[in-house]
Amino acid sequence: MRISRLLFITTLFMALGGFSPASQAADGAIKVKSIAQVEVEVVGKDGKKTLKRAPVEKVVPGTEVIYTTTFENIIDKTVGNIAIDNPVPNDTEYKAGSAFGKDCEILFSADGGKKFGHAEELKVKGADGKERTALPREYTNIRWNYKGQLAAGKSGEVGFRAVVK
Amino acid sequence: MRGLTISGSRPRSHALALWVLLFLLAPQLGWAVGTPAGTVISNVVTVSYDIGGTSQPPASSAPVNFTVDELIQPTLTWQDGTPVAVNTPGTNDALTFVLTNSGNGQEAFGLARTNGPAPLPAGNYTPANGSISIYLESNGTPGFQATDTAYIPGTNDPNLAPDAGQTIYVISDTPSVASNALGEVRLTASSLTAGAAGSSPGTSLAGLGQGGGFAVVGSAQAQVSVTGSYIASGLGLVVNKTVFSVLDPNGTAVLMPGAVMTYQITATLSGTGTVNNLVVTDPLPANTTYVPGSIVAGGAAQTDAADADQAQFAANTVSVSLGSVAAPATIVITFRATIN
Repeated sequence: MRISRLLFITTLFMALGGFSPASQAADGAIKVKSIAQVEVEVVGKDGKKTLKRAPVEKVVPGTEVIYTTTFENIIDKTVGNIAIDNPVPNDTEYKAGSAFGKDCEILFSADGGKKFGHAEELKVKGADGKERTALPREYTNIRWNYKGQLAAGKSGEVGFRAVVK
Repeated sequence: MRGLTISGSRPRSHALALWVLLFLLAPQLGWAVGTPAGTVISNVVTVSYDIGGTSQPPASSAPVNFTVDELIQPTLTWQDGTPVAVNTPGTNDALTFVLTNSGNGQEAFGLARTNGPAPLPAGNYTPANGSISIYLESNGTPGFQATDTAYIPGTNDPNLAPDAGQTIYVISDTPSVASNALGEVRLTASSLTAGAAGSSPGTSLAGLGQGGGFAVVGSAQAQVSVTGSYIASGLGLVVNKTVFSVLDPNGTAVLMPGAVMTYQITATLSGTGTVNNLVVTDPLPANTTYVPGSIVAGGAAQTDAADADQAQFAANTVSVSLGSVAAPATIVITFRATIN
């Protein structure tokens, strides 16, 4: 009786223990987390105004949202050739010059992600049917190509700002 | 998954909220209408990578979602541009306003008028409510007609979709006042969302926005006021007639049989306002004969027939129909007649 109970617990423990690596394998080697924040002006008691980041609580047209993505190597091997893709969220416009990412080459797309390039390489057709350079607010996707390798346990951070249309 | 806990999941700090203004309330003024309130904005990030040169299945973030709140932002404009000329005394004259919902959610607005808002400038008069004080354009015909809809607060308050507008007529009576006196009426449109009208920009009202999110008071403080004005008409009309020139058969200016006289009629409209159906008629003097086709009105040659142009000659009388003329104006009419 006691043995079978112990066996049961042991089996359960092993099952749970076995589950965790399986789940991690499904997630892969990179854990991706995105957060959205806004900047709020906080007026201190001394009347000084400072900008602080706060969770998105209220959003109206014109609100600027800061998206920050962290990517972390959660396995014990080095990971390479990392590309972070982020379509500009629906009903927002990319804010010019806002994309950031240390050790990253930042590319944009203005055609839904078919073609990526630097700002001056992106073309769209204007109202007159002529091709012209895409405006930042016309960008549809952002891609960060991480330069080099991400060692085990290391993480990086990229992000951008978007304005709610 | 910290990335998921974004919207509304944190306790609000009211003490802090007093000191916090949404940083972006100011720049959003230029947005006529934006993303509709209640829209969910979602962000998903995907990362692709290799291990040891072998491509791996991409990893994705959990979606980061938030819902767009309702910005309450009415705009109100006075359409007439210049004071509306009214008779003194007069009744039921309209000022025209347009209320526009420049926010991003359906919003109802109450309307109220203030006659002769303080401080009343010297020389101004205070208009009185017309028999019905506010009308809503409804019959599809531009301008105020009695067949438009009378506004009844609480019953037919304009309930406007984003970017929709409502033309509003403020109807006033004019007491006996001095000519050219100005009478002002201020129209105020207030959001009917509880607690919104008059609140400072950035005020958030939980659960009262369209779509169930916040109702956020915009820069207009959810309440707009615009003043329109009347001017008591001081119209004056003076008509002069002179013999402008004479040409006798000898080529000189002697009044003799056969001499052709050019008559000049000058109608001078002074003051402020508009006269309607202004008609100048001039029976020909005795012993003269009209020179056919000689009428010139406002510099334009006229025919003698009763047709599309302004003038006609009939029953030995010159008549010129000038229609509606806004003061100040001077109209010159000439015609010729021969001395018998």
